[in-house]
Amino acid sequence: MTGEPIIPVKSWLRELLQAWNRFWFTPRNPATLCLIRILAGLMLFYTHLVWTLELPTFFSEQGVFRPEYRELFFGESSFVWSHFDWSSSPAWMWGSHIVALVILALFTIGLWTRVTSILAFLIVVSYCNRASGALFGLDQINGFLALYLAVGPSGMMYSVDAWRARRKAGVSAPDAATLSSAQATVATRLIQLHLCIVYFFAGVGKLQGTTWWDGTAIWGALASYEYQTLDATFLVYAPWIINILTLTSVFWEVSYPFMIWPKLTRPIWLFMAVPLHLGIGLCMGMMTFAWIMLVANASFISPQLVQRLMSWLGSKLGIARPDTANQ
Amino acid sequence: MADQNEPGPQPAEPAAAEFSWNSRTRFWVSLLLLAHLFCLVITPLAAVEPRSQLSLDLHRLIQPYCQAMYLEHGYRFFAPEPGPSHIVRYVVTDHSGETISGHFPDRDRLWPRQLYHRWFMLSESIFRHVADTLTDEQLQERQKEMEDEISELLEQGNPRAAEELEFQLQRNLRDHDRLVQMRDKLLQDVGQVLLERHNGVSVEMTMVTRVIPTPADVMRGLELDDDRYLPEDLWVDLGVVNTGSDEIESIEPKENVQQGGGEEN
Repeated sequence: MTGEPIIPVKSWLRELLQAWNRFWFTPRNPATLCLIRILAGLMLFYTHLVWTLELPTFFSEQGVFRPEYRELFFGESSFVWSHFDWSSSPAWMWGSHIVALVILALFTIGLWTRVTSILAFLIVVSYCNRASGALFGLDQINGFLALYLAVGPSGMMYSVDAWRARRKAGVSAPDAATLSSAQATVATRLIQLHLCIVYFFAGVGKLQGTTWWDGTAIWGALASYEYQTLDATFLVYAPWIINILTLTSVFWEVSYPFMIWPKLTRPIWLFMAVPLHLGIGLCMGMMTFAWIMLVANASFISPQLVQRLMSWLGSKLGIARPDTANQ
Repeated sequence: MADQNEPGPQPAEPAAAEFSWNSRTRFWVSLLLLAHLFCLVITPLAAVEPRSQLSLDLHRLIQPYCQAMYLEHGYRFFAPEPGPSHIVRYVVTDHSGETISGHFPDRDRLWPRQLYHRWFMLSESIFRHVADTLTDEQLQERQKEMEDEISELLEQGNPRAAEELEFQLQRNLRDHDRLVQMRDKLLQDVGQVLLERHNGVSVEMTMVTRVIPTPADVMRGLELDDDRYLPEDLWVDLGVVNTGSDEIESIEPKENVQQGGGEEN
């Protein structure tokens, strides 16, 4: 008897803790996060810009979601808040809307990002809480991306803030080591994990339906007049394509949380996201949803690849990218 | 796509310098992360039917945080399967007795697509409110069924179970009453917006369901917007709203409203 336990619980726990620490806290270059800021910021700005067309309809006290309805809808919860509830004056509604659009634009270009990222998240939540009956998947993804971009240093690169910092310090490029941070890792990991949860529940929810099993569900989506923007009903003559699209979609969604992590399968699963979301976007008139889902998927692209892409883009556009020059 | 930060084969003992945060900071951040991840998993389990009592009870604990962070979603996009869509048709009567008719979502009028989608989701919200409520007859029938069950339990000498069922009945009635109020309030508000927009004195609204064409229909050359996909037996009279009135007249939802999964879940 050596006194060694049959199951080495302690060493297993120690390894688990180390893996947890490596996963969450190994400092990471924020290039991916900063690219997501630009791409998600554009969508946040567009989403809120479109509200401008019918702002009184959806956000005024004389609109379709009046206070009494929302009290019934949310109960007495004081945690569901909206700045539109602070005053019923049209001046407040329009004034705060213009300020919100300015903040979202500043966030997108990365000016005063520490503050504008937090404000951008609060704006997203505030609008969603007010127009609760007119929301869809896009708003949910907008919400969590804005949250995690506020958590992480999303303005550290590809931003006006980074440009100003370099100018102030009189350097052409920052030290690569100073850019990496655990905060960037935490924010990126949160986006990745949240996306896995979204796909997992979207996938297992579909497993309850018979048409996702018999391979015809995609037909239901393609033949919906209210959704359709691009006519793909010619696929009726190739039912096996509809079967493949249906079964692949559901398999891809359910398996995403497991297959996106191994280096071997990650490129395949990421690549599959592109036709899937673009297909939904083009055929079902949901390009905004397609865009934001692909932006969230970008969280799985390594910062090194993002830096190379941005450098290449910068050189093509004739913009110097000194923040990536020495990395 | 290789990610140098991925967990994988790593040195067994990472040097302390590997992490920029000290162990105390990592501990507290880890606790926050675990709590947040717990919320992310529990909320979709509780947000959409069918759901367990456990997920509902756990969700009650985390609801304030999830509401504040806008995390209360089920993510069941197009699940359990793509279903029919719902359109609100309306006829507004103005001061001179002239009528203006319209519907939403309206592909020809609402642009850009994002705006169209907002109105589409509004019509789907109205549908869900209608589908969630019962007619007076249905409600009375359900109530009678439960009351009979309670009497039976009392006769069997099981007052505790009867009391539990009575409690459930009262709760169901209260919940249903709230759903009816919510449905009527939303319809009133939508009606008032339509009246204001068209300068009308009354508006009559109808919910129309568009069923999905079968592949055989499309092969026969039928268009997706063919009227036969709007079967009249699925139309629901949503009632009449008059200018300045807090009442909505004659709402009578039908039994056979068709459920389906959209992208709002």
